[in-house]
Amino acid sequence: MSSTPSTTQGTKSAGSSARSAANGNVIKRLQSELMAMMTSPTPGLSAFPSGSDITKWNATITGPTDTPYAGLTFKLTVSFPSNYPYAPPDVMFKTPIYHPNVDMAGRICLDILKKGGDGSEGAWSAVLNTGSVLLSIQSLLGEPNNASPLNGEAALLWDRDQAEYKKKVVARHQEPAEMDVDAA
Amino acid sequence: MDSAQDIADSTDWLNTPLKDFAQLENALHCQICKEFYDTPMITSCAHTFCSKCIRTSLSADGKCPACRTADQASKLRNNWALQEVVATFQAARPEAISVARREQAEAAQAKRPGKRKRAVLDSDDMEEAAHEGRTTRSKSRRVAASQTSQTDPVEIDDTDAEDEFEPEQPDDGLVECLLGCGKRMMIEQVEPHLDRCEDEKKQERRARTRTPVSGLGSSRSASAQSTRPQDRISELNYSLLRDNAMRKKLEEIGIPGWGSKQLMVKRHTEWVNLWNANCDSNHPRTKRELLHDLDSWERTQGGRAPNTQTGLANGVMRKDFDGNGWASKNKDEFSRLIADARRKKSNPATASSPPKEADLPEDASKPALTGDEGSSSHFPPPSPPQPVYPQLPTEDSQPYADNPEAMASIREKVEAANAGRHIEPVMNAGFRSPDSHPHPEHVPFRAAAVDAMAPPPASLTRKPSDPPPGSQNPALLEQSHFGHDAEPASRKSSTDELAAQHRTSSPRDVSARLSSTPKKVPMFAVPQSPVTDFDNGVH
Repeated sequence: MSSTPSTTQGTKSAGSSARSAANGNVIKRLQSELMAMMTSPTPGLSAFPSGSDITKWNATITGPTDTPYAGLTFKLTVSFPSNYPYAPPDVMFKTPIYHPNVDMAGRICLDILKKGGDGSEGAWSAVLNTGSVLLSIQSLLGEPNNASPLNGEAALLWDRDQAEYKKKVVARHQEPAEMDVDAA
Repeated sequence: MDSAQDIADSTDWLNTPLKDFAQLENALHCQICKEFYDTPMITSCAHTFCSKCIRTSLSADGKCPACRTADQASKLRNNWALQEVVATFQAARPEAISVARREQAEAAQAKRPGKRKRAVLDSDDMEEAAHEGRTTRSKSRRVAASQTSQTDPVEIDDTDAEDEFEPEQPDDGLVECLLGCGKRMMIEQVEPHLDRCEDEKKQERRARTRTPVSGLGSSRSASAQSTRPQDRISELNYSLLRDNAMRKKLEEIGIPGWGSKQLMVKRHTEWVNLWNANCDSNHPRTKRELLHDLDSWERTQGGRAPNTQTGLANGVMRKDFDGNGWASKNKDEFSRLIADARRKKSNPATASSPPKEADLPEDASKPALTGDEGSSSHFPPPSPPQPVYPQLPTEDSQPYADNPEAMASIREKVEAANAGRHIEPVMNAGFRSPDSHPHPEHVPFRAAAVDAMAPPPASLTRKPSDPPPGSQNPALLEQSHFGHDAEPASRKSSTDELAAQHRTSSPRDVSARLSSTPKKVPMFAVPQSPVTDFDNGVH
């Protein structure tokens, strides 16, 4: 049933389908990811396309309880490359965050956000999706990888003084309420 | 039979009595493309993906996406059983979903006690439907198995649609060449093939494309062969091929041979994946269709892709970024920038504001001041008279650096202020005259007051991350403490004073100003209290 209409349609309207096939596979995959996220949302995570371009999403992560980030909400942007899912999405924190593996510009150091392949240690895999990436980032908040920090001071402080660390986290954080206004 | 036909999705089941079918349907989806398996292939680590998906993934990183075990495309095997399940499910789905929806509608309409009975009945119906599908399927399967022939085991859905479809299908029950050339054939064909395969290897695999894969090759006409690709092709040893050889190879197999070698390698890889996935398929498409696919690849990810995504954002960050290509492509721009930079370095004052001397001859009498002022956006002042402030937002002073008139006016005022003279700001029509003060050190405070009090310019305050008004109170208090009127100055003079403030402001003022002008980095305005994070936060 499903292949029949597509083949006949393909020959009939090759032109239009070809134009919309600009990353047709990427769009299809993102649509089903979006559908999955909407129908079975994960508590503390959300993601939605930011505008008409489905390859650019906004996402929010709530800090896990029992971590210095508990109760804080963080905004992120996710942008998908044209060969997604064979290459990882580009994820950035938009809310300022004090974390050993996030730099001042919001870039995140996380193995699954890097492309694997010969010689490189990246751990991106095509079966991962936006939900699993956000979940990994959320758990990174509570379990920073202090062995390879982007923010060395935060890595030191995490081991030395959790109370002071929490203070810095709260001081750096800004409630992303304004971003909501922006997006809406 | 409404929208279920249009876009089938596993969520269709969720609101029906058959909601567990959503799980079932998801289980029949490839984890890479999230669609129903299309020609499922099983890896050596026993994971299953669509042929095209896993081939593309393997050529990207050589690992199984599910468990990250290293694997090779040549080791993939068809998962016929799963393919049959998927085809059966897809065939049974429309009816099943309509039954489920009818049930749902009726349940919603009247909550009768007979509901349960009906549910049982309907699911029976559905099972029956599926069972029917099953029998025909297994019948054809049995035929296929008994004949070891080319009967297609999955022919329910689109036999009529594919007019040029030929029932021969060589892939069932084949064995692979023992010499490891990757070809599959019927057992009887192995021995003759082995001889040939050996010869072939000696001939440097030159005859590969013409060699029949299986017994079918000899019995089938050449035209059939050309429409139905049989031979899997392999990736080349790209590093051994030079550009021209590569181009020739591409043109030999009938795909475009333009572009850099890197692009040609990518295109060939894509083609190999397309082609081989097509070979795996039960319903192979023609080469023309494959070329069409390659063309859309070209437009989205290949040489004709819009350069927005892969250009700067990802391209520069990637490790395999083609630095030489980039350098040669942008050579003009680079050399222009280098020349600019050289010129500025050798003569900073004149380079950054060339028309200044011509406009303001009196400035030449104060070279130290003008040099300082003219280059402030690019270089730190040679002898900073103020406490060091790390980076002023250079965007603020930038507009004036490019505007000779503004620069001249600023310089004039600074000069006057230094000399203790009273200056009359240039004013636009309609603005009230600001009260002026003879003492230059008042200037920054008034500027801060203007910032806080005056109906502020939209470009500064409508940004989302403006700090709450309370944060600007220090500046206000400061101002009233010094007894100045908070009278809004004219726009022109206030900007002048802002510029002047850069030279005389204290660090506190700097931080206040930073927090109120989040032009470029909306969410990352430096917080006011913990500015010292990195300097002395380690105690």
